[in-house]
Amino acid sequence: MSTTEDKTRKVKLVTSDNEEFEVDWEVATRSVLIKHMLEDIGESEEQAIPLPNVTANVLKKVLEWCEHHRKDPEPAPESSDDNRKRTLEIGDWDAKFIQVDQEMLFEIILAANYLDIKALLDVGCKTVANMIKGKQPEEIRKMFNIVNDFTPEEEAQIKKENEWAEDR
Amino acid sequence: MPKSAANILQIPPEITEHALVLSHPRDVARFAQTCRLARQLVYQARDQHLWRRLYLEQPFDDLRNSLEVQASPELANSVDWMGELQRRVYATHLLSKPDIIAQDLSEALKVLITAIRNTPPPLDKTGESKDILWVAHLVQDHKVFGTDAEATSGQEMAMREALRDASQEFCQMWSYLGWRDCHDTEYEIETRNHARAFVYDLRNYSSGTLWGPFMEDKKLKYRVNWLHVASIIKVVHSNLQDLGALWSGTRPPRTLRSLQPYTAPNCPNRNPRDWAGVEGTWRRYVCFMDYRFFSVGNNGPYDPEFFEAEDFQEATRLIELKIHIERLLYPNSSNTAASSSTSNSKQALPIIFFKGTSRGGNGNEADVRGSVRMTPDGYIRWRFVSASIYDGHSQWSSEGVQIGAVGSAAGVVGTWTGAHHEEGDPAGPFWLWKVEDNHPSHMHTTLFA
Repeated sequence: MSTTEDKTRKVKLVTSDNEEFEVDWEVATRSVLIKHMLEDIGESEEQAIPLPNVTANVLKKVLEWCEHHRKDPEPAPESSDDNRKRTLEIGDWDAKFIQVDQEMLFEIILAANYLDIKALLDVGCKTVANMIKGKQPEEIRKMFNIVNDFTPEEEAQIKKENEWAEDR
Repeated sequence: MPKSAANILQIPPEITEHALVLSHPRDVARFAQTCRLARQLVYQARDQHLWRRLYLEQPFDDLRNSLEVQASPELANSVDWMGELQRRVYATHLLSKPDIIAQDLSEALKVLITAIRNTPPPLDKTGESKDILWVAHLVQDHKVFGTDAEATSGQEMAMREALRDASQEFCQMWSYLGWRDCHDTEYEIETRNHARAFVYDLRNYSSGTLWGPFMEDKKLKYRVNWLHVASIIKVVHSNLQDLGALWSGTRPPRTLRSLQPYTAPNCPNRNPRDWAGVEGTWRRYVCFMDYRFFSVGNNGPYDPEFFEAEDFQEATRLIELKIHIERLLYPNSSNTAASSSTSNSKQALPIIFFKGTSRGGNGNEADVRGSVRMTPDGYIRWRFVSASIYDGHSQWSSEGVQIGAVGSAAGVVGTWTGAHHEEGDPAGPFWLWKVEDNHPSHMHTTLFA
């Protein structure tokens, strides 16, 4: 596969709700999953790639991100989690992009994980990290609709367990 | 509700973990308190994957690069990422409190000291340990520990003075980092005289203190006395500042990386049996008080004002040392054949006996014999005796402690006294550190400050 061909090549994607998207090779291959599938198929056939885990409204959003980041340098080949260098700040464009309701946020995170788009997964996870930042447990429960299911004994253990993070 | 509604706890746990790794550890603790599933994810995982990643997101050195783990790679799997991260977060929290009490300050400093003691050897020729930078920022900014004397209130000054005398941790941290930031202030003159009163007080030299910067300890027999170490550094460092431009290229290194293991010259390519980086060329500043003044303080503590007297004199002398290893003594001397690579416990390190020569500015040459060993509390203790080459009579004995990790460029500070510890023998502080073999020699005069 030569790069000149890649640039002009189009890729067809089909969502779980049977919507078809046609996008540039460069945009689609932000997803490592799609990239590997394309390599497996080879370039002989104009085959649509099925994405049974992604709905059209989510894929649309994900492709918007891929389009904007189509020229970004390739992420370093699989380095270990420990050494992965992350910029903890979310860029301006990404911050605006990720201003979605909570449900869409988690859908994007799930899709980024499934499609293997590390940079987008980071944007999503960092957004979640920012949501819990500086909040008390009760506030976090409220935000994510979490039900407190601890028994009184457990509450006591938990208090002890987390002393390191609080005033003793 | 749409069928695919997702929530932080309904997505695969590895993705939730990914979001937690990008959070502040304190936020992770708050999250763990929301429900059972969250708690399970944070505290009841089968391994320390989350905690290791969380730890490595912080501005810390990788614990797996420590000398201990490097020597025994199997220890990498038992690194306590969670415990160490929690201790560091808590210490940072304590130090951020505006009304920190002395006990909490000591507790926080203990964590910081452990971080400095376990710092890994540098990865390259100029890099600094992330742990040491982290500690340096914390203590330099701290209002009680911070060394910017003018910025502190009277109450904070009083606390600082109380700590200086009471807290071994405070003195130890000052010995590692604090002395670097000393300026010429009223407060510095006071602490200098305070330190002189301690290091020249002959009552601090006895068999109980091993005639050096040590103190008795019920459990360990003896341990390092960091108040004594800090006082030695204060006196020698102040005297070196008084030297101004004289021998200005010959000073104990003050970089942060000089506290890291094996940063002294020629340490990376040392003889494998030389675990302490002993062999090579050293420089030593020795300070002493005019002999006539010693008797004044003999029967009680010096009044710090004594050092302000018009005719008070203190001298600083530069000495060159060249030493090599004579033999090793293993704790169980029956297995001398065991190679050092098989021993992974610090206590199992052999005692190094060394020999060499010492040359002073006035042409005095002496034979030096001494030893280097681990103290019961895990520091590196130096002791040596120098005897004039002319009559062979033992003259001076020295006892010191390595500042920083093993083979650190920061060197060894300690005290010298008469070798036979006779009544009326004087005593004084010294600072010994390793130099390149071709370091310029400045052998000429004794200098009276």
